[in-house]
Amino acid sequence: MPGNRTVLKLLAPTLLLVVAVGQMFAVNYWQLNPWKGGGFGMFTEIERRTVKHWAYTADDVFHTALVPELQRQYLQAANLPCKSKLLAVGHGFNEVLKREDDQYQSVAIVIANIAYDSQAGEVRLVPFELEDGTTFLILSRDGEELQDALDE
Amino acid sequence: MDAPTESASSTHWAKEFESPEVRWNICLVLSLIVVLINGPDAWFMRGPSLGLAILALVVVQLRSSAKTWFALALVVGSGVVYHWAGSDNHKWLITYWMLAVACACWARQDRQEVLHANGRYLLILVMGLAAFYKATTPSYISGDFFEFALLSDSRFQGFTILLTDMNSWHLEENRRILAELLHGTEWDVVPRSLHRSESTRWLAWFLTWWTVIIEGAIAIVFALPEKMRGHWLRHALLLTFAATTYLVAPVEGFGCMLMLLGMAQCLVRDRYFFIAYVVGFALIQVAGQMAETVWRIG
Repeated sequence: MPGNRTVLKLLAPTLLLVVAVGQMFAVNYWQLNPWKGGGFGMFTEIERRTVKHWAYTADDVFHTALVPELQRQYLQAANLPCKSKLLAVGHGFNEVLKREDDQYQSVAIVIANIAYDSQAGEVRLVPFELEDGTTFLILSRDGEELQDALDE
Repeated sequence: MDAPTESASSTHWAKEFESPEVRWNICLVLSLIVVLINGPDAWFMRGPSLGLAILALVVVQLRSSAKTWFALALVVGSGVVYHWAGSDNHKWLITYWMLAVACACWARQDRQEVLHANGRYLLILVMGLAAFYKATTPSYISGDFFEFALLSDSRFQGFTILLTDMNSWHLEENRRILAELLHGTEWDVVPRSLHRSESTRWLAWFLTWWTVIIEGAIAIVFALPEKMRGHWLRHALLLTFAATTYLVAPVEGFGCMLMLLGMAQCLVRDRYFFIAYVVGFALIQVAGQMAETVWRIG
Protein backbone atom coordinates (compact mmCIF):
# COMPACT_ATOMS: atom_id res chain seq x y z
CA MET A 1 0.00 0.00 0.00
CA PRO A 2 1.68 3.25 -1.14
CA GLY A 3 0.20 5.37 1.66
CA ASN A 4 1.44 2.99 4.31
CA ARG A 5 4.90 2.93 2.71
CA THR A 6 5.09 6.73 2.85
CA VAL A 7 4.39 6.61 6.58
CA LEU A 8 7.12 4.00 7.08
CA LYS A 9 9.58 6.18 5.15
CA LEU A 10 8.76 9.41 6.97
CA LEU A 11 7.96 8.40 10.56
CA ALA A 12 11.49 8.57 12.01
CA PRO A 13 12.60 11.70 10.07
CA THR A 14 9.39 13.51 11.08
CA LEU A 15 9.98 12.66 14.73
CA LEU A 16 13.54 13.99 14.44
CA LEU A 17 12.29 17.25 12.92
CA VAL A 18 9.62 17.76 15.60
CA VAL A 19 12.12 17.18 18.43
CA ALA A 20 14.69 19.46 16.76
CA VAL A 21 12.20 22.32 16.42
CA GLY A 22 11.27 21.90 20.11
CA GLN A 23 14.96 21.86 21.05
CA MET A 24 15.57 25.11 19.15
CA PHE A 25 12.69 26.71 21.02
CA ALA A 26 14.14 25.49 24.34
CA VAL A 27 17.62 26.78 23.43
CA ASN A 28 16.30 30.24 22.54
CA TYR A 29 13.75 30.69 25.33
CA TRP A 30 14.87 28.40 28.17
CA GLN A 31 18.68 28.55 27.76
CA LEU A 32 18.87 24.80 27.06
CA ASN A 33 22.41 23.65 26.29
CA PRO A 34 22.52 23.59 22.45
CA TRP A 35 24.75 20.49 22.54
CA LYS A 36 21.90 18.50 24.11
CA GLY A 37 18.24 17.76 23.51
CA GLY A 38 18.24 16.39 19.95
CA GLY A 39 18.61 19.58 17.89
CA PHE A 40 22.10 18.76 16.55
CA GLY A 41 23.70 21.97 17.81
CA MET A 42 26.86 20.22 19.04
CA PHE A 43 30.29 21.82 18.43
CA THR A 44 28.64 25.22 18.01
CA GLU A 45 29.00 27.05 21.32
CA ILE A 46 31.39 26.76 24.26
CA GLU A 47 30.00 24.14 26.62
CA ARG A 48 31.65 24.46 30.03
CA ARG A 49 28.54 24.91 32.15
CA THR A 50 29.03 24.40 35.84
CA VAL A 51 27.32 24.84 39.21
CA LYS A 52 29.14 26.53 42.11
CA HIS A 53 28.00 26.78 45.71
CA TRP A 54 29.11 28.30 48.97
CA ALA A 55 27.98 28.04 52.59
CA TYR A 56 27.78 30.97 55.00
CA THR A 57 28.33 30.92 58.74
CA ALA A 58 27.68 33.99 60.93
CA ASP A 59 31.06 35.53 60.08
CA ASP A 60 32.57 33.49 57.28
CA VAL A 61 31.91 31.97 53.86
CA PHE A 62 33.38 28.76 52.56
CA HIS A 63 33.25 27.19 49.13
CA THR A 64 32.51 23.51 48.84
CA ALA A 65 33.38 21.21 45.99
CA LEU A 66 30.58 19.57 43.99
CA VAL A 67 28.95 16.72 45.90
CA PRO A 68 28.87 13.38 44.01
CA GLU A 69 25.38 12.47 45.25
CA LEU A 70 23.97 15.66 43.64
CA GLN A 71 25.53 14.90 40.24
CA ARG A 72 22.16 14.41 38.55
CA GLN A 73 20.77 17.72 39.89
CA TYR A 74 23.95 19.56 38.82
CA LEU A 75 23.70 18.20 35.28
CA GLN A 76 20.02 19.03 34.99
CA ALA A 77 20.54 22.56 36.28
CA ALA A 78 23.53 23.20 34.02
CA ASN A 79 21.86 21.83 30.88
CA LEU A 80 18.56 23.59 31.45
CA PRO A 81 19.14 26.51 33.84
CA CYS A 82 15.87 27.56 35.53
CA LYS A 83 14.72 28.53 39.00
CA SER A 84 13.20 25.15 39.87
CA LYS A 85 16.40 23.28 39.00
CA LEU A 86 18.57 25.78 40.87
CA LEU A 87 16.25 25.36 43.88
CA ALA A 88 16.58 21.56 43.58
CA VAL A 89 20.37 21.90 43.78
CA GLY A 90 20.04 24.34 46.68
CA HIS A 91 17.77 22.06 48.70
CA GLY A 92 19.97 19.04 47.95
CA PHE A 93 23.07 20.96 49.00
CA ASN A 94 21.32 22.08 52.20
CA GLU A 95 20.48 18.48 53.08
CA VAL A 96 24.08 17.36 52.55
CA LEU A 97 25.46 20.25 54.64
CA LYS A 98 22.98 19.68 57.49
CA ARG A 99 24.44 16.19 57.97
CA GLU A 100 28.00 17.50 58.21
CA ASP A 101 27.91 21.04 59.61
CA ASP A 102 25.82 22.60 62.36
CA GLN A 103 27.39 26.08 62.10
CA TYR A 104 26.33 27.25 58.67
CA GLN A 105 23.31 29.52 58.24
CA SER A 106 22.73 29.80 54.50
CA VAL A 107 23.92 28.64 51.09
CA ALA A 108 24.49 30.45 47.77
CA ILE A 109 24.27 28.68 44.39
CA VAL A 110 24.97 29.83 40.84
CA ILE A 111 24.98 28.24 37.36
CA ALA A 112 27.66 29.61 35.05
CA ASN A 113 29.44 29.05 31.75
CA ILE A 114 32.84 30.04 30.37
CA ALA A 115 32.92 33.01 27.99
CA TYR A 116 35.92 33.43 25.66
CA ASP A 117 37.03 36.84 24.42
CA SER A 118 39.14 36.09 21.34
CA GLN A 119 40.33 39.70 20.97
CA ALA A 120 42.00 39.63 24.37
CA GLY A 121 42.53 35.88 24.54
CA GLU A 122 40.79 35.83 27.91
CA VAL A 123 38.25 33.59 29.63
CA ARG A 124 35.85 34.41 32.43
CA LEU A 125 32.86 32.89 34.20
CA VAL A 126 29.46 34.31 33.29
CA PRO A 127 26.43 33.48 35.47
CA PHE A 128 23.13 32.48 33.89
CA GLU A 129 20.30 34.90 34.52
CA LEU A 130 17.17 32.86 35.22
CA GLU A 131 13.56 33.59 34.29
CA ASP A 132 12.92 35.94 37.23
CA GLY A 133 16.28 37.70 36.99
CA THR A 134 17.97 35.49 39.58
CA THR A 135 21.68 34.83 39.16
CA PHE A 136 22.87 33.89 42.65
CA LEU A 137 20.26 32.01 44.68
CA ILE A 138 20.61 32.29 48.45
CA LEU A 139 18.74 29.85 50.70
CA SER A 140 18.55 29.74 54.46
CA ARG A 141 19.42 26.54 56.34
CA ASP A 142 15.67 25.81 56.40
CA GLY A 143 15.40 26.14 52.63
CA GLU A 144 13.78 29.57 52.61
CA GLU A 145 14.80 31.81 49.73
CA LEU A 146 16.55 34.86 51.18
CA GLN A 147 17.71 37.11 48.37
CA ASP A 148 19.76 37.13 45.27
CA ALA A 149 22.19 39.70 44.00
CA LEU A 150 25.40 39.48 41.97
CA ASP A 151 27.09 41.78 44.51
CA GLU A 152 26.58 39.24 47.29
CA MET B 1 48.56 -17.85 -13.27
CA ASP B 2 48.78 -16.46 -9.75
CA ALA B 3 47.84 -12.91 -10.60
CA PRO B 4 44.56 -13.65 -12.41
CA THR B 5 43.55 -16.03 -9.59
CA GLU B 6 44.12 -13.29 -6.99
CA SER B 7 42.23 -10.77 -9.11
CA ALA B 8 39.33 -13.17 -9.55
CA SER B 9 39.16 -13.92 -5.85
CA SER B 10 39.21 -10.23 -4.88
CA THR B 11 36.44 -9.51 -7.38
CA HIS B 12 34.45 -12.38 -5.90
CA TRP B 13 35.05 -10.97 -2.42
CA ALA B 14 33.74 -7.53 -3.45
CA LYS B 15 30.81 -9.14 -5.26
CA GLU B 16 29.54 -10.44 -1.94
CA PHE B 17 28.47 -6.89 -1.20
CA GLU B 18 26.33 -6.71 -4.34
CA SER B 19 23.80 -8.91 -2.60
CA PRO B 20 21.04 -6.80 -0.95
CA GLU B 21 20.66 -9.58 1.64
CA VAL B 22 24.32 -9.31 2.69
CA ARG B 23 24.21 -5.50 2.91
CA TRP B 24 20.93 -5.65 4.86
CA ASN B 25 22.34 -8.11 7.39
CA ILE B 26 25.54 -6.12 7.87
CA CYS B 27 23.48 -2.95 8.48
CA LEU B 28 21.38 -4.72 11.10
CA VAL B 29 24.31 -6.32 12.91
CA LEU B 30 26.23 -3.02 13.04
CA SER B 31 23.09 -1.22 14.27
CA LEU B 32 22.90 -3.67 17.17
CA ILE B 33 26.59 -3.14 17.92
CA VAL B 34 25.92 0.61 18.12
CA VAL B 35 23.19 -0.06 20.70
CA LEU B 36 25.50 -2.35 22.68
CA ILE B 37 28.26 0.27 22.83
CA ASN B 38 26.13 3.43 23.08
CA GLY B 39 23.06 2.30 24.97
CA PRO B 40 20.83 4.63 26.99
CA ASP B 41 22.27 6.55 29.94
CA ALA B 42 19.29 5.83 32.21
CA TRP B 43 20.32 2.85 34.37
CA PHE B 44 16.87 1.22 34.28
CA MET B 45 16.96 1.05 30.46
CA ARG B 46 20.57 -0.11 30.10
CA GLY B 47 19.84 -3.72 31.04
CA PRO B 48 16.82 -4.19 28.75
CA SER B 49 18.59 -2.54 25.78
CA LEU B 50 21.70 -4.71 26.23
CA GLY B 51 19.59 -7.86 26.62
CA LEU B 52 17.47 -7.14 23.56
CA ALA B 53 20.49 -6.25 21.40
CA ILE B 54 22.37 -9.41 22.40
CA LEU B 55 19.30 -11.59 21.76
CA ALA B 56 18.80 -10.02 18.34
CA LEU B 57 22.46 -10.56 17.48
CA VAL B 58 22.22 -14.25 18.33
CA VAL B 59 18.73 -15.11 17.02
CA VAL B 60 18.31 -14.32 13.30
CA GLN B 61 14.48 -14.39 13.41
CA LEU B 62 14.47 -11.76 16.15
CA ARG B 63 16.89 -9.61 14.18
CA SER B 64 14.56 -9.33 11.19
CA SER B 65 11.40 -8.82 13.25
CA ALA B 66 9.84 -5.34 13.31
CA LYS B 67 8.70 -5.98 16.90
CA THR B 68 12.30 -6.35 18.10
CA TRP B 69 13.31 -3.01 16.58
CA PHE B 70 10.18 -1.23 17.83
CA ALA B 71 11.02 -2.58 21.31
CA LEU B 72 14.61 -1.34 20.95
CA ALA B 73 13.35 2.08 19.79
CA LEU B 74 11.05 2.19 22.80
CA VAL B 75 13.73 1.16 25.31
CA VAL B 76 16.51 3.40 23.93
CA GLY B 77 14.01 6.23 23.37
CA SER B 78 12.66 6.02 26.94
CA GLY B 79 16.19 6.39 28.29
CA VAL B 80 16.77 9.39 26.03
CA VAL B 81 13.48 11.09 26.91
CA TYR B 82 14.02 10.45 30.63
CA HIS B 83 17.23 12.55 30.39
CA TRP B 84 15.92 14.68 27.52
CA ALA B 85 17.74 17.89 28.44
CA GLY B 86 21.00 16.04 28.97
CA SER B 87 20.86 13.42 26.21
CA ASP B 88 23.56 13.66 23.56
CA ASN B 89 22.47 13.96 19.95
CA HIS B 90 23.80 10.56 18.93
CA LYS B 91 21.50 8.91 21.49
CA TRP B 92 18.52 10.64 19.87
CA LEU B 93 19.81 9.57 16.44
CA ILE B 94 20.16 5.94 17.57
CA THR B 95 16.51 6.03 18.71
CA TYR B 96 15.34 7.33 15.31
CA TRP B 97 17.46 4.70 13.59
CA MET B 98 15.91 1.88 15.64
CA LEU B 99 12.50 3.21 14.59
CA ALA B 100 13.66 3.42 10.95
CA VAL B 101 14.85 -0.21 10.97
CA ALA B 102 11.55 -1.26 12.58
CA CYS B 103 9.65 0.50 9.79
CA ALA B 104 11.87 -1.19 7.20
CA CYS B 105 11.26 -4.64 8.71
CA TRP B 106 7.54 -3.86 8.74
CA ALA B 107 7.65 -3.12 4.99
CA ARG B 108 8.88 -6.71 4.30
CA GLN B 109 9.66 -6.91 0.56
CA ASP B 110 10.23 -3.14 0.36
CA ARG B 111 12.52 -3.10 3.38
CA GLN B 112 15.63 -1.94 1.47
CA GLU B 113 13.71 0.93 -0.08
CA VAL B 114 12.23 2.04 3.25
CA LEU B 115 15.60 1.84 5.04
CA HIS B 116 17.24 3.73 2.17
CA ALA B 117 14.63 6.53 2.35
CA ASN B 118 14.84 6.79 6.15
CA GLY B 119 18.63 6.94 6.06
CA ARG B 120 18.57 9.62 3.38
CA TYR B 121 16.06 11.87 5.16
CA LEU B 122 17.80 11.45 8.51
CA LEU B 123 21.15 12.40 6.93
CA ILE B 124 19.65 15.49 5.26
CA LEU B 125 18.09 16.63 8.54
CA VAL B 126 21.08 15.88 10.79
CA MET B 127 23.60 17.57 8.51
CA GLY B 128 21.24 20.40 7.57
CA LEU B 129 20.43 21.18 11.22
CA ALA B 130 24.09 20.99 12.25
CA ALA B 131 25.08 23.40 9.45
CA PHE B 132 22.14 25.71 10.22
CA TYR B 133 23.06 25.87 13.92
CA LYS B 134 26.67 26.70 13.10
CA ALA B 135 25.85 29.28 10.43
CA THR B 136 23.46 31.14 12.76
CA THR B 137 25.64 31.16 15.89
CA PRO B 138 27.83 34.31 16.04
CA SER B 139 30.45 32.79 18.37
CA TYR B 140 30.87 29.90 15.94
CA ILE B 141 31.11 31.96 12.74
CA SER B 142 33.65 34.31 14.36
CA GLY B 143 35.98 31.32 14.87
CA ASP B 144 35.93 31.77 18.65
CA PHE B 145 34.39 28.37 19.35
CA PHE B 146 37.06 26.39 17.50
CA GLU B 147 39.89 28.58 18.82
CA PHE B 148 38.73 27.91 22.38
CA ALA B 149 38.34 24.19 21.62
CA LEU B 150 41.83 23.94 20.13
CA LEU B 151 43.31 25.77 23.12
CA SER B 152 41.53 23.89 25.87
CA ASP B 153 39.78 20.68 24.77
CA SER B 154 41.89 17.59 25.44
CA ARG B 155 40.23 15.83 22.49
CA PHE B 156 41.97 18.27 20.13
CA GLN B 157 45.34 18.29 21.89
CA GLY B 158 47.25 16.02 19.48
CA PHE B 159 45.82 17.83 16.48
CA THR B 160 46.68 21.28 17.90
CA ILE B 161 50.26 20.28 18.73
CA LEU B 162 50.69 18.75 15.26
CA LEU B 163 49.45 21.73 13.26
CA THR B 164 50.26 24.81 15.37
CA ASP B 165 53.22 26.12 17.36
CA MET B 166 51.50 25.35 20.68
CA ASN B 167 53.04 22.63 22.83
CA SER B 168 51.56 20.31 25.45
CA TRP B 169 52.70 22.59 28.32
CA HIS B 170 50.70 25.53 26.86
CA LEU B 171 47.59 23.40 26.49
CA GLU B 172 47.86 21.85 29.95
CA GLU B 173 48.29 25.31 31.44
CA ASN B 174 45.14 26.47 29.62
CA ARG B 175 43.19 23.54 31.05
CA ARG B 176 44.53 24.30 34.54
CA ILE B 177 43.36 27.93 34.21
CA LEU B 178 39.90 26.77 33.17
CA ALA B 179 39.71 24.20 35.97
CA GLU B 180 40.55 26.94 38.48
CA LEU B 181 37.78 29.14 37.11
CA LEU B 182 35.24 26.32 37.03
CA HIS B 183 36.06 24.60 40.30
CA GLY B 184 37.96 27.22 42.31
CA THR B 185 36.75 28.50 45.67
CA GLU B 186 36.18 32.12 44.61
CA TRP B 187 33.63 33.69 42.31
CA ASP B 188 36.39 35.07 40.14
CA VAL B 189 35.24 38.03 38.07
CA VAL B 190 38.75 38.81 36.80
CA PRO B 191 39.32 37.40 33.29
CA ARG B 192 42.24 34.97 32.88
CA SER B 193 44.52 34.90 29.84
CA LEU B 194 44.98 31.71 27.83
CA HIS B 195 48.18 30.77 26.02
CA ARG B 196 47.54 31.06 22.29
CA SER B 197 49.22 31.77 18.97
CA GLU B 198 48.43 33.20 15.57
CA SER B 199 48.62 29.72 13.98
CA THR B 200 45.85 28.50 16.32
CA ARG B 201 43.66 31.36 15.14
CA TRP B 202 44.24 30.41 11.50
CA LEU B 203 43.57 26.73 12.14
CA ALA B 204 40.36 27.64 14.01
CA TRP B 205 39.26 29.80 11.09
CA PHE B 206 39.87 26.93 8.65
CA LEU B 207 38.05 24.36 10.81
CA THR B 208 35.11 26.73 11.29
CA TRP B 209 34.46 27.14 7.58
CA TRP B 210 35.45 23.63 6.54
CA THR B 211 32.96 22.10 8.98
CA VAL B 212 29.99 24.30 8.14
CA ILE B 213 30.62 24.01 4.38
CA ILE B 214 31.00 20.22 4.30
CA GLU B 215 28.00 19.65 6.59
CA GLY B 216 25.87 21.94 4.42
CA ALA B 217 27.18 20.32 1.23
CA ILE B 218 26.31 16.82 2.49
CA ALA B 219 22.76 17.94 3.31
CA ILE B 220 22.40 19.48 -0.17
CA VAL B 221 23.79 16.56 -2.21
CA PHE B 222 21.64 14.05 -0.35
CA ALA B 223 18.60 16.28 -0.89
CA LEU B 224 19.15 16.44 -4.66
CA PRO B 225 17.09 14.00 -6.79
CA GLU B 226 18.64 10.55 -6.61
CA LYS B 227 18.58 9.99 -10.36
CA MET B 228 20.97 12.88 -10.96
CA ARG B 229 24.45 12.03 -12.22
CA GLY B 230 27.36 12.08 -9.82
CA HIS B 231 25.64 10.17 -7.04
CA TRP B 232 29.13 9.03 -5.93
CA LEU B 233 29.72 12.57 -4.68
CA ARG B 234 27.32 11.91 -1.77
CA HIS B 235 29.37 8.99 -0.50
CA ALA B 236 32.67 10.75 -1.19
CA LEU B 237 31.58 13.81 0.84
CA LEU B 238 30.19 11.78 3.74
CA LEU B 239 33.33 9.63 3.95
CA THR B 240 35.56 12.73 3.71
CA PHE B 241 33.59 14.34 6.52
CA ALA B 242 34.00 11.21 8.67
CA ALA B 243 37.74 10.97 7.98
CA THR B 244 38.41 14.66 8.68
CA THR B 245 36.16 14.87 11.72
CA TYR B 246 36.26 11.64 13.69
CA LEU B 247 39.96 10.95 13.35
CA VAL B 248 40.60 14.47 14.72
CA ALA B 249 37.97 14.43 17.48
CA PRO B 250 36.76 10.85 18.05
CA VAL B 251 33.03 10.89 18.84
CA GLU B 252 32.38 7.25 18.07
CA GLY B 253 28.63 7.10 18.73
CA PHE B 254 27.79 9.82 16.24
CA GLY B 255 30.46 8.81 13.72
CA CYS B 256 29.27 5.20 13.61
CA MET B 257 25.66 6.30 13.19
CA LEU B 258 26.64 8.43 10.17
CA MET B 259 28.43 5.41 8.67
CA LEU B 260 25.24 3.34 9.12
CA LEU B 261 23.13 6.03 7.44
CA GLY B 262 25.64 6.00 4.57
CA MET B 263 25.50 2.20 4.29
CA ALA B 264 21.72 2.37 3.96
CA GLN B 265 22.21 4.58 0.86
CA CYS B 266 24.38 2.05 -0.99
CA LEU B 267 23.01 0.27 -4.04
CA VAL B 268 24.65 -2.56 -5.99
CA ARG B 269 26.88 -0.10 -7.92
CA ASP B 270 28.08 1.37 -4.58
CA ARG B 271 29.60 -1.84 -3.18
CA TYR B 272 33.04 -0.27 -2.73
CA PHE B 273 31.50 2.67 -0.87
CA PHE B 274 29.63 0.17 1.29
CA ILE B 275 32.92 -1.50 2.17
CA ALA B 276 34.43 1.93 2.91
CA TYR B 277 31.55 2.69 5.33
CA VAL B 278 32.09 -0.63 7.13
CA VAL B 279 35.84 0.08 7.42
CA GLY B 280 35.01 3.64 8.56
CA PHE B 281 32.67 2.25 11.22
CA ALA B 282 35.44 0.01 12.56
CA LEU B 283 38.13 2.72 12.42
CA ILE B 284 35.95 5.27 14.25
CA GLN B 285 35.31 2.73 17.01
CA VAL B 286 39.00 1.86 17.30
CA ALA B 287 40.10 5.53 17.24
CA GLY B 288 37.46 6.39 19.85
CA GLN B 289 38.45 3.57 22.20
CA MET B 290 42.16 4.39 21.80
CA ALA B 291 41.55 8.08 22.54
CA GLU B 292 39.50 7.17 25.62
CA THR B 293 42.31 4.94 26.88
CA VAL B 294 44.88 7.69 26.32
CA TRP B 295 42.72 10.24 28.22
CA ARG B 296 42.25 7.81 31.11
CA ILE B 297 46.00 7.14 31.33
CA GLY B 298 46.67 10.89 30.95
